[in-house]
Amino acid sequence: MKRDGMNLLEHEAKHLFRHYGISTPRGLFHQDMGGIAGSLANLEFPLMVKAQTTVGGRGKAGGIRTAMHAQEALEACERILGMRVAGMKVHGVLLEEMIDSSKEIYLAITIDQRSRCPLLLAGCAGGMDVESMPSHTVGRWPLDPTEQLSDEVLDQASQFLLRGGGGTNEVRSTMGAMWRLFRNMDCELVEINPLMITDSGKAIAADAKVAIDDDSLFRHTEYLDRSGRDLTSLEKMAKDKGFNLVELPGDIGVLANGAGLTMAALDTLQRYGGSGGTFLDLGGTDDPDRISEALGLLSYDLARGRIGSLLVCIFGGITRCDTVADAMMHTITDRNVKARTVVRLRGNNEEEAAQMLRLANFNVHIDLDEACQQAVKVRE
Amino acid sequence: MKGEALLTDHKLLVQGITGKQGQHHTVQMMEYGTKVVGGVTPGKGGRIVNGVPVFNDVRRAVERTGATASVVFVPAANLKQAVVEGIEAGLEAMVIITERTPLHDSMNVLALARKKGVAILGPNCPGLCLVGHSKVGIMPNRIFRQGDLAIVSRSGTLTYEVVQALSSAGLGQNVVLGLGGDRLLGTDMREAVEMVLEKGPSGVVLIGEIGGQMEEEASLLIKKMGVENVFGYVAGVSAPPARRMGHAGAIVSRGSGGALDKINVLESSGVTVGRSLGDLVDRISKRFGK
Repeated sequence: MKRDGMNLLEHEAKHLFRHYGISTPRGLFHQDMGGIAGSLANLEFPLMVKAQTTVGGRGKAGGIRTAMHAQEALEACERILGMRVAGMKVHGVLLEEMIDSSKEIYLAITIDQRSRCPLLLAGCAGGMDVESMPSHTVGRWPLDPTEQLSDEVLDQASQFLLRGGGGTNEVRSTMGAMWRLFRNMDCELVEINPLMITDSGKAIAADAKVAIDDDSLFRHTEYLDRSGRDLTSLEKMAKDKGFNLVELPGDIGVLANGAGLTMAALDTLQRYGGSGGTFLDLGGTDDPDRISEALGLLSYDLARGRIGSLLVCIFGGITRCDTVADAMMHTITDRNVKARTVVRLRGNNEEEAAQMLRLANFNVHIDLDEACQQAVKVRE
Repeated sequence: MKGEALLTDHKLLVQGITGKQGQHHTVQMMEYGTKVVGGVTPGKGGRIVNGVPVFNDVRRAVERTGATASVVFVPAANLKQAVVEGIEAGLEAMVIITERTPLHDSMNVLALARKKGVAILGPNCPGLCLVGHSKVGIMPNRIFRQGDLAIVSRSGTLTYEVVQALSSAGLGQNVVLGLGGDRLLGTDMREAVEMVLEKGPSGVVLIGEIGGQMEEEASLLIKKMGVENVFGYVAGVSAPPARRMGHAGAIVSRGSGGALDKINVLESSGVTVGRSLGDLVDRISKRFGK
């Protein structure tokens, strides 16, 4: 499933699950090797040893192991804590008792963009990617975001999954709990894959995925420190200043106002054999102070050599281009930075602005294609 | 969906009129010719800002001014309350400029708006312009030129770029619609295309970007209706997967929402897709240029 927002780690999601009344296996989380030996004495083997990451793909990367005894568990922990999954840091390890189940199913609540409504997904098999499950084995129920989860939906979904078999009541109450969690915590996704149904009809969430909408964190301040834990230092600096910055593998820093324009500039660079090193979106603003602040960030990136040139692409809609040009001249005074910076301005008074910058020895263009060609050329 | 309510001249309220953005754009909209009849800021009722009266709530503002639509500049944390007020006061259309609205708040107000038949543009959109008549939102006044092209876009500044380039090339517009950069939008691209076609444009320009399936859904409609003279541009060909590129809605996930896929689907529906902004404008010029 798509996970867009701030992804919680599995053990954090399971903590929320228990709070909402969803059962999870007995387990303990450790950030590092300290204290793991002690925890092993309190758990029953066999154990699952699971990498805690905010990105998917840990299973394929060897981040989920089983251990029959303490020595095996310790070795697994050490391996997992030293690895990266999809380039991202492992934030710790979850040791969990294995569950004996008679059936595994899939449950998720997500948001459907087209209908702008929550969607309940229920799959008759658990443990695999929902997108690779045969479509007749996955049921979908659109939900009204302003209402309670109806008995009708609960009946239909549990009937679809279990055909009236053991675990029906627990699965129903699990779906109810997921819905409360989804709504109360501003979730983009609540997913259990798999939900284990035991012989005695208990439902236990073997895995847990919860993504919380970043834009709602002002009302979930206890999670504020968790957003951004996978960002680079440059991305963190930008976030603190309120900019959208994505570090990219290329060597040309791109700063523009508006997400679409920033992407368009990166695409155009690619046409001329260049490759973007940053996506820095100022938002729709052309406020000269904000432009100066953002330039500061990229000058730093240039100075440390991660990027080799800088493309500044501004559409002056509210502020006149000559005002923007004036701010730039005051911000970029270092000769080396200036030599590797290409400016592209459009909007009110673009000709005057270009003239001003040209006189101050800036490499300035009105045409985007020309500016991109120059940005490729001047990089070091 | 009462989409046509968006493409009508309204008596307009500005929700959040006393803020910096609200004040600035009220002046700009009035200069363009929009009938701004009042503003709303809770706790600041009774004032006059930019020559229009300020009210504490939408209901009272509607009663006193006869307003039929609003543009919303309130901070994200207050957005839900502001939009619910507007819907309950009986507005026909609302344009939401506010950025970074919590997704669940959007989902809830959009569901309520649908139930009550209120047309919504945004959130996180630059607004719309009925060129030569009225403008609602934050698009720069000077970029437009009267004509008969319709522009539908998911991006703000990219729209300004394209509109300005078209205007400079002598290619005027009759309606410019900025849908917004969020994942959940009051009006999506398919609905917007349906709406602008009612205006009988000579051509339609779609500006899309990575993320979601909006361009694909619009393509299906274009193909089904056999609409001609549709032009497109999709930003984000070079965007890496799984990274959110500025807009909440701009993310390629699980191999879905990529720019090249969108370009292919648009082209297979007969849309002429520009490979760069310059190429887009060239292709439109070639078709309509004098």
